[in-house]
Amino acid sequence: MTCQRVPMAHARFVESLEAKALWVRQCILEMACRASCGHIASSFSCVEILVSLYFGGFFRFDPLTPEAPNRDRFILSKAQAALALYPVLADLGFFPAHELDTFCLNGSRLGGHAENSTPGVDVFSGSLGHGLSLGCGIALGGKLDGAPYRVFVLLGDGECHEGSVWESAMFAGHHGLSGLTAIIDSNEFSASDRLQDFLAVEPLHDKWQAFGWDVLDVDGHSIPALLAAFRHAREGKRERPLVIVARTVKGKGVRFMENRSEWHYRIPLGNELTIARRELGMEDAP
Amino acid sequence: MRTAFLQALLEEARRDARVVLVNPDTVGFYCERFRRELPGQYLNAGIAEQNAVGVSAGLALTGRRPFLFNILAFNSFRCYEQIRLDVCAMDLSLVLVGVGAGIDYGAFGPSHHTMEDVALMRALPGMAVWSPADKIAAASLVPHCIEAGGPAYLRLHRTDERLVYRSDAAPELSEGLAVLRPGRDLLLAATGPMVLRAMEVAEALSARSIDVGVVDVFRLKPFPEHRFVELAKSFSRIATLEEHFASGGLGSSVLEALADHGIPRSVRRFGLPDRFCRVCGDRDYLHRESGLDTAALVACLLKDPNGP
Repeated sequence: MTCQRVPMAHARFVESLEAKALWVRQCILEMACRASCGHIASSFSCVEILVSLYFGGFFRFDPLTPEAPNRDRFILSKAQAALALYPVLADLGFFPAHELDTFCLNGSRLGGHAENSTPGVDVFSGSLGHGLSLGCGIALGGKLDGAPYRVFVLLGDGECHEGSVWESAMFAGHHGLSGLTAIIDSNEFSASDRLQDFLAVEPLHDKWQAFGWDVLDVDGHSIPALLAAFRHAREGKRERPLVIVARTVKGKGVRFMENRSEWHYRIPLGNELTIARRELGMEDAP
Repeated sequence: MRTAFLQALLEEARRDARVVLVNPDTVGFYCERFRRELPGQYLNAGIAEQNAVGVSAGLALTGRRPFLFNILAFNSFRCYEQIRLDVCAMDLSLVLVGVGAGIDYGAFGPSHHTMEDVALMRALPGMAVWSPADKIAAASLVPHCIEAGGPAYLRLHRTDERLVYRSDAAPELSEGLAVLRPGRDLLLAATGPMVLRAMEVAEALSARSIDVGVVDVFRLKPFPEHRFVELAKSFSRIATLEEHFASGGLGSSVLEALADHGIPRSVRRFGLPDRFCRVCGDRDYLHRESGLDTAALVACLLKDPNGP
């Protein structure tokens, strides 16, 4: 299987991915407002991660054969960010882009959390602390089969409160699942508060390292940094699983949402929506 | 029962490389032969039940047929959400096999007892729930589950090795139940370790000229309701026996089936009382404490105002 996107001249390529990220944020805002549903801020924080992974050329897939046995797997363990994943999958051709307008509406297959009935989504999700275990099983199966695929799992830093995450981290470290890459969207917030103020997860780097993982710390909104990390994940020679700790900002892209816990759930209304659209370079009306 | 089951699994795994035995570090002694002979198909996943279910589900997603083998209490309660979402919501072919049905672990206490697991498992969409009465039935479940696919929960017991079936006459699993003793007056519907108890009760009541039938309901979900209802029609009274809370398991399924089919029958449910079993003792002792010993059941059925 070949990579779907081959990097062009680097600066222009990065620019094109930044434009893609802006478009994804615009989609997130409009989809959530249309449905009055969805986790905007959680989705904003992982946009560059998803764009760099899917469009960066290091993730192997083919929308025309989504079940190909040697495809790379992506698991959105922080499933509330489905809003960010759907535009990416639609743009790549897994399903028609007009379906994005149905997000969370009656009869849609694009629910608030990604499910495996959606083309391009490998596993059922929605409850935190499941994705890494599933990723471990798929990566172990691949290792036993000598298969070439890689498994990428995106977790939230708040998700690392779940004990099952550390059961999986220990498992992957012990079994040397070098085909497994976890990405932590480390935006420092959970649903209700700043993590360090009620249950700190730091130091994430040291914790994952102690569990037997190679650790990369990156700026989670820097596409060049993320591309370098994903290149390392696919091409680097490793004996251990890799975790990319991506430092991000919850609500990134709309200033009044950034680092404000109420925007975990809220949907902008009236003037808020006008301002949000302007900040994302959109006309006032869709 | 577990030895026979694991032997059957080993034989199947020799033929079918998809079969994987995952053991979260319990009852590992019984898995030793499998581990030695087929190390590439064996995984000790450690004392981490949630991850063990997730990893098994991931292995199923790579085309394998995992059997997750554990003490029943740890194969159900702690990892229920993983079973619900990682296994059932994706309709994966994964078999959860547990040992220690009901109060089988006796003096180990309520942490090791499973009195409510059938209620939980039969609530899950797509889950098949099996409760074999002896090792013949248990062993025959191995090829059946592989052939059938989908999620399955198997409830084995460990302390009673007496046989219900002849080794050359395993029950027809697709039937969901097997009539062990014909009768006319009272039908005893039993499952798992209570099937032999039902046979003892039937024997004792027949000495009092009561014609008692016994049916082994080994598939609790999907409940074989049509076969059961047809059978129940020829009896005036029914009693259910299970090593599980009287609510949520076999007794509840029987009531539901009879009500749904409009078959009015008097039903008496015998199961564990609605409390944690806080007295210490072996299984026979705890059965007596719970009113599930043969003498108590016979006495109860004889003094029932509607007659046995």
